[in-house]
Amino acid sequence: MAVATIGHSPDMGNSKPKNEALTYAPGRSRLLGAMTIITALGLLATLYMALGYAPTDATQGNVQRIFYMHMGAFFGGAAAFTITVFAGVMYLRTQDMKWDRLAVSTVEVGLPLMLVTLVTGAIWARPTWNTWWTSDPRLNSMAVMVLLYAAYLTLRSTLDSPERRARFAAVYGILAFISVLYVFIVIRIRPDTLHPVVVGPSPVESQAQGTPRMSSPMALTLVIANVWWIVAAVTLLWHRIRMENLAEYVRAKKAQLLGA
Amino acid sequence: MPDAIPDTNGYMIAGYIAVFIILGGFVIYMALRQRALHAESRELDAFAPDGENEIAR
Repeated sequence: MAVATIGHSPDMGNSKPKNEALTYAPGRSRLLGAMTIITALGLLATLYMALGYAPTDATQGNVQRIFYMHMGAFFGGAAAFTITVFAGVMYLRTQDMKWDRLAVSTVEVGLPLMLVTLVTGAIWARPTWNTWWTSDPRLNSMAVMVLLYAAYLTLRSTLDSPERRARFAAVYGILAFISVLYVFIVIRIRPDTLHPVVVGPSPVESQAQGTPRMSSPMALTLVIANVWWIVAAVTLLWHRIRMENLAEYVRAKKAQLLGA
Repeated sequence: MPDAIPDTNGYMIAGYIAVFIILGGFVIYMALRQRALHAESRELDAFAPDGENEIAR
């Protein structure tokens, strides 16, 4: 995992920090640099695939190309929120603050990706369903999920004690993941949704509208785009963790100076 | 038939612009905050140099 070495005690934040260095192994920094370049090149490749290589959908027209961003962003965000659960469990087991820093980083990365899914979905819906938004189980649950994770960041900032904040955030992050699972399965268990099931069969007789009939180039583009979004999520997460480590270092250094 | 394909180019462009605004905004936010934190840590290190608080950048 891309957690950098940070030289302080696990309970740093409310106790006197140790005067140790924040350092990263050179190999890790090189790997992060390589991943950043790969992500940037991957973006160009994905855009070429989505806008040039994949054929135009005969029914929906070019708006179907939004799907490559819409779905991939969801998987990237879901990957980030899955790590939030892992970090939460690890924090509750070890009480090590590095897991709390990982958890808040995953939520801050996952949230904009889910926002991409939400906004692109609304834009796609306008010409396809003739509405930007409708009271649909998938749409509503997606909105609730985004609000839940936005509340995670807001509620965190209201707790002063680092230990209480970390414990609360760990439990909240684990419970909030139920909303991600629900968003994923809702179109597979409820027949009263307009949202199409793109990956896998739908066990219910759905009234979904806008299901694309995917040709091979479209399916390949979708796979490439989904992989890119997950790689982008990991790269952003790694940068975000380093930023959180640096912020913690600055906080500790300030506390050290004030205490001296 | 090409004529039967609906013209939804504007929505596609709007969708991709939205992606770049959200994702680009987040990347810019991270870059600016990282820069500010680096500057702050340098100031703190200069204020109280102890030879041990070096951050690998």
